[in-house]
Amino acid sequence: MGFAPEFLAQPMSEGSTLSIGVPIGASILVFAWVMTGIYVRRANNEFDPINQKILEDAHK
Amino acid sequence: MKYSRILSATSAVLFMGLISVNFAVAGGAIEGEVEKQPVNMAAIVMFLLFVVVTLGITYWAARRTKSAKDFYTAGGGITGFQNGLAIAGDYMSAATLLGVSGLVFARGYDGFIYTIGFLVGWPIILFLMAERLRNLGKYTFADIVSFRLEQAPIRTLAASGALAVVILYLIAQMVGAGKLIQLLFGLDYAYAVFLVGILMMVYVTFGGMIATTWVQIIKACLLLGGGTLMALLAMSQFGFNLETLATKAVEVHKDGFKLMGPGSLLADPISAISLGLALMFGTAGLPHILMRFFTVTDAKEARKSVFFATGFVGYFFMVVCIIGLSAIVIVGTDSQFLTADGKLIGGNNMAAMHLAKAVGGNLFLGFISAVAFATILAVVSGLALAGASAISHDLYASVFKKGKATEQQEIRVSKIATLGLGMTAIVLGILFEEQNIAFMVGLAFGIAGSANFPVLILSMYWRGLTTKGAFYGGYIGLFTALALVVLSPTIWVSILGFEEAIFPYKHPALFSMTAAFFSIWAISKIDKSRQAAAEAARFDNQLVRSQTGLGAEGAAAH
Repeated sequence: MGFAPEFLAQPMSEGSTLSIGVPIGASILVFAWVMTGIYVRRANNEFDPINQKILEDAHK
Repeated sequence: MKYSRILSATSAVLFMGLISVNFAVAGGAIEGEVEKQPVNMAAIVMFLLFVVVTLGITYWAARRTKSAKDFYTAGGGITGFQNGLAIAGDYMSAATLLGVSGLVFARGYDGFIYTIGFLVGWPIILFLMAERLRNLGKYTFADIVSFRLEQAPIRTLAASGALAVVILYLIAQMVGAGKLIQLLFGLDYAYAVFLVGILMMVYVTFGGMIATTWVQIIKACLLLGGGTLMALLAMSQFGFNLETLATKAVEVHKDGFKLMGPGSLLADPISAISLGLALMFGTAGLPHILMRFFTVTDAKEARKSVFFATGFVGYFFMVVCIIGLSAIVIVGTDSQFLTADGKLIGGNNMAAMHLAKAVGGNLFLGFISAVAFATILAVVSGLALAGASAISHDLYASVFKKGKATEQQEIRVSKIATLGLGMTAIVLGILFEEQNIAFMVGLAFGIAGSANFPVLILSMYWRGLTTKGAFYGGYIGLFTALALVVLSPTIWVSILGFEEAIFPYKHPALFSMTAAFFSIWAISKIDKSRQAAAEAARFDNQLVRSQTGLGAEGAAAH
């Protein structure tokens, strides 16, 4: 926003009032959330079992 | 005019109650005097309903709260989804609803950028912390910091950081709540503050963390529901078409097309960075947020709660932006909401309240007011519990009794501490009635970011941290933040009345956090004692536990 304010202020298309910044902003929000989701899924379904295995091995 | 007074006082309340937004919007949110009001029946009925339901929950929670673990962490049995809602509830105060929508109302796209910065920052921080917090902690964040360091000094430091934040935040909330109730109920300010203080004490002493969490969850649902409903009602006037809404908004707003692009919000880079740091890292050092990570079953649920919280907060921000944009068209062009010179009655932060009235009438306005009040109650309860556990678990059980207190004694002390904090909050709330307290929330965030956060994060990630480094560095951070706020324009000029501020910026975080991190690092490096070596040696143990959950606190079996 500090770097290219004009870019974000461009209209989305000819005759449109919403600027291109609106969908970009919205997708950043959604993107952050989706990334969170991906991390949580992987951590819970892949990393934790590995972790569990290490713990079990260590106890042997 | 009764309606406008309710609004201006509500705006005063929310102005003080809320973090970020006041930082960004330069002043001018409170206009008009706050006076006792004749009643808004709809608001009172809905608020009473909320109180009855939450007291019922407290009764139910009290019967389930038996051990210290139940009291501090709801038995560790909260699910990720529930905790996500509760954390989101801690973030989404009614003031977010009003403040961010006010920002969008005044500046358009800038308000949106603001929410993006806020939302994108905190999952990163939370991922750095959530899992390790859950694996290392028991009841308070001091448990983690003192995991391998010396108990007494470190717990004292952590508890003073926590208490400073809790008390500052409590005062701001109490004064705000007092003024809001005073307006909605026509009660004297003092009675209103008593009412909030007593309800808070009841929730926390009897229901502990279980009640506190459920009150927060209910409030989060109310706020999400109310916000969504308002956005839908408003959008129905534009045929649910965002493009139509934007076109109309640009037509009627004085900035015209500039509304849709970034403006001058972050014009001063130092203030912007400082504010950003305080928001991101301060939040990660707020004791009442940190303690929520001890209430979930395990690290898995801790991660999930970050996911749900991010989703709810992100959704809420988008809803709020729609509300702000709709307000430009619906409220900004309606003369009943404007003063003679074309400004919004009660200031820009009232945009959402006016919109509630415009789209849903007095009944809906009453509902939103009641939700605003419920929010404050939920937040003060969390704060009181966080403060009480710092006193009982850290100061009493670990420092004063050197870990020899029984669980019963510890619970008793934390209940007494809750009553003490409630009393203190009431007294301070009354003393500060006439004071300008807008700086207090900012100061609370500054301290959280400059004392609690550096010590906490370094204790988890840096082997070289020693007791001396954490102790002195933490206090340096705390006092630097305090001193810089006193010397800043907010207190030095506005309250003490000097001509020019010694410290030119409103937000101290950039400087006080640097001071804290640097002094913790430097003192730890200089510290070559045997104790320091032993502490570094214990890091491996801690690292394994933080990463794997080996030996972590489990959920209580119920």
